[in-house]
Amino acid sequence: MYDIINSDERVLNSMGRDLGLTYDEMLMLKDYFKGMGRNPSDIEIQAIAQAWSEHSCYKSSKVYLKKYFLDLKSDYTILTMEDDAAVVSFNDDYAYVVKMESHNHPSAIEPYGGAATGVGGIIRDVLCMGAQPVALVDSLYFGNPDSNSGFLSERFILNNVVAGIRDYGNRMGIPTVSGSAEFDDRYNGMPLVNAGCIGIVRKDKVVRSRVTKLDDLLIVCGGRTGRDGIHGVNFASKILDENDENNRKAVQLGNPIIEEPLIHAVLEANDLNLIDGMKDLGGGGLSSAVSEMLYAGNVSAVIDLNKVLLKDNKMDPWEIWVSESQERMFLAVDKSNLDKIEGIFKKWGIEYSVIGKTVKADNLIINYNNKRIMDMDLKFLVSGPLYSRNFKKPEANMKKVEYKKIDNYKDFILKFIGTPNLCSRFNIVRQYDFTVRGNTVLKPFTGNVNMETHSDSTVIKPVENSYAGLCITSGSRPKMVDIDPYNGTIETLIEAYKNILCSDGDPHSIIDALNFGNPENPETMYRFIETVHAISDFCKNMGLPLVSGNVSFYNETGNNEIMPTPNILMIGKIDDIRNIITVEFKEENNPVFIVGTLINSLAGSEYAEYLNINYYNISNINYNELLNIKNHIKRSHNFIKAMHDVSSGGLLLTMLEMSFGNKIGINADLKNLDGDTDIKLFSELGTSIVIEVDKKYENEFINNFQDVNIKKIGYTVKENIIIKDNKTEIINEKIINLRNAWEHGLDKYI
Amino acid sequence: MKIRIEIRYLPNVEDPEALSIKRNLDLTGYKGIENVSSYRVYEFETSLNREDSLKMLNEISEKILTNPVIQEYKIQEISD
Repeated sequence: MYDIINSDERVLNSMGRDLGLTYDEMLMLKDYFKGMGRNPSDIEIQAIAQAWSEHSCYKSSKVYLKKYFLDLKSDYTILTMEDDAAVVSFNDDYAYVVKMESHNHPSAIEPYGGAATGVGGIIRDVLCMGAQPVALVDSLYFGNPDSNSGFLSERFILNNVVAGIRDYGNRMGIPTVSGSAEFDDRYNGMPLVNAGCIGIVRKDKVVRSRVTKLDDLLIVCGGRTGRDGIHGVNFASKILDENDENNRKAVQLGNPIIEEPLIHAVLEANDLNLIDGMKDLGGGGLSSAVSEMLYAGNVSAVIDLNKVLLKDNKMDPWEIWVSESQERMFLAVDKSNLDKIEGIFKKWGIEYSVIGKTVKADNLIINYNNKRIMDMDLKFLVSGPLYSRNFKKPEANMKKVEYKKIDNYKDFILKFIGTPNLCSRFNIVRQYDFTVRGNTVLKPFTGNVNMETHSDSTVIKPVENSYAGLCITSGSRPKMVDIDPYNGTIETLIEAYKNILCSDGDPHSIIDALNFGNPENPETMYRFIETVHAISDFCKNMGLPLVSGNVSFYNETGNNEIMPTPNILMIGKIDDIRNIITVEFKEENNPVFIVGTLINSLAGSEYAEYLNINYYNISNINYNELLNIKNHIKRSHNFIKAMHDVSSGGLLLTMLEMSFGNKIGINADLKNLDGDTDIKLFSELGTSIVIEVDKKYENEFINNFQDVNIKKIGYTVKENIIIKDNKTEIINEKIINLRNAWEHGLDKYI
Repeated sequence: MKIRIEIRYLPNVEDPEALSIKRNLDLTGYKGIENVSSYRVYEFETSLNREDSLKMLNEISEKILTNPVIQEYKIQEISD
């Protein structure tokens, strides 16, 4: 029992540390309970600690999310930023549901379980909108795989995060189709696991994450409630201390064998219109899900905590209320439908219990062993404090740029393309089942068997009676965001946009997962604000909706913060998936063009990282050019044989990856491009895309691109890659030799 | 020498594989099973002496085979 109303500053401070609340927040509680004339019960104070944590109430970010992200809707968005996942129109009958969330802190402590439950949780977020989950996405950020400095080696973290995603996704029978993996010392001990899910739902079957009807029954179904995962939310809102024994209570492994039938049961019940409201039990457990679902619907409830099915009968009531046990869903159901729901749950072998019913009141009431243990104003509980934290522009850290001359391009390139950030992703992605459900039209890899290369985005065909498809891409450019948060975020968005264009899609919606360090650090706050400002500007200028998002702060170990990492998941639409253009060169003797602007800077590039040089200049984007490129690619569809954007590794990697898929290489001369040879080869900034054009339509193609930068760089050839810059020969090598160096980069790690 | 390493989950960590086995045994009609636990067992043969073998395999167990947050391990010599 916490004696708040009689405590002084010292005691309140110490209680606050226990609960993850600040002194000011404890004072708010003291005032509130003084007004009530009593102290809070254990369950009340624990419920507040959950609801007021950064993870649940976004107290540091909400002010800025409201300022920048309001009104980024579109005429085809159905639900954005309101419920557990976004709902966006797909065609007249169907909508797609999408969400991405971080599961960073659990994955740092227990990589396998942390990553697996991240996948399980994001699937439930999509399921609770009434949608069938159809695709999974994972963007991963790991420490240097050679580092052993943390209490787990980075290699162990890498292998176990990938295994956790593999085992959960594969066992659920949902394909893991897209994502990204980045390695950097600045993620040592603090990996980022951003899991996304896409679902599909008939528009008339969307379920809200709220309950508005009185006298509805409240049901918890799926897994039982246990001690696992208590205080996960508070723990995601604190800095990790590897010696803190308390962190270890929050570990969960996840059990897909429980969740798989839960999907069938929930969707069957929803198909019969038996569900009035639904929410996934995630961070904060029942405490968060129940209060948020009631508050959103402007009702309250009386809960009997004895009715919750437990794994362990010795739990305290507050533990039952805040437990984050996995594989649970929370449903509101009309009592006349209970029999039918029971029948469905029985058929699928799903455990469930009715824990209470909705009433018209301000206060949420919880009874346990016939005693009232919570009687508290829902609004006070759910609203939580809001902060407008200090922010400060970091001092510009402009060191002199030292130009390093590469003596031997061939040797350099053979090493460079095998580095962890540039090499093939086969070792990771081939552990995932990316074709289960049979809807993956463009896989993560494309090209001939045993000669595959990376796709720009993945394409799925989600609805049986339609040839329309969804393009999916996810990633971030943290090194650029670190240098310039605003323009680096724009570069992240440009890359996602180009990935969709290169897979023949129309960019359709944006989902963010914003991973940052400590928001109490003014420089971190500055980077965060610049990032959301950039996302907002990009959406407005490109006419794209931002449909859902997630913020994760306190990603740091000791004094080391991660790089600011706004991960962008972008969804594109394709009218007809039968005409997709892919990355690999298709035939000999076709002209190859670069369209768009390649910015004259190596800032944030893998080249700069590899040679340990600092570059700072990331210029502003030309939105019109990007829009023009999109329109011209659409018009030129029948002239284009292959497309790939310029991103990590620069134009060099773009040309190589296009050559790796089909034994057709390139003979290129970069003399018509601006800048030094290394900038032409390795700059990763700007709007440029490389396009193989059908030789029959070269003139028509050039005519279509008249108002943007367009340069011919060479033509396709058999089996070789020949690149020069005027008189400098850069490389002249068999494709197979370069591909080998690229293919095996991760072999010694995973 | 031959060494056996047995790995299991710590008591407060849920064992999903064992739970699935128990659930399916219940469904198929085997009555009276109260609890199931799963273990992972490795056998190593080394050319090192006892002390060096144990030192190395302890390190392998801690760094590569387990995460101490969820698992514990037991090392035993096996006599031929």
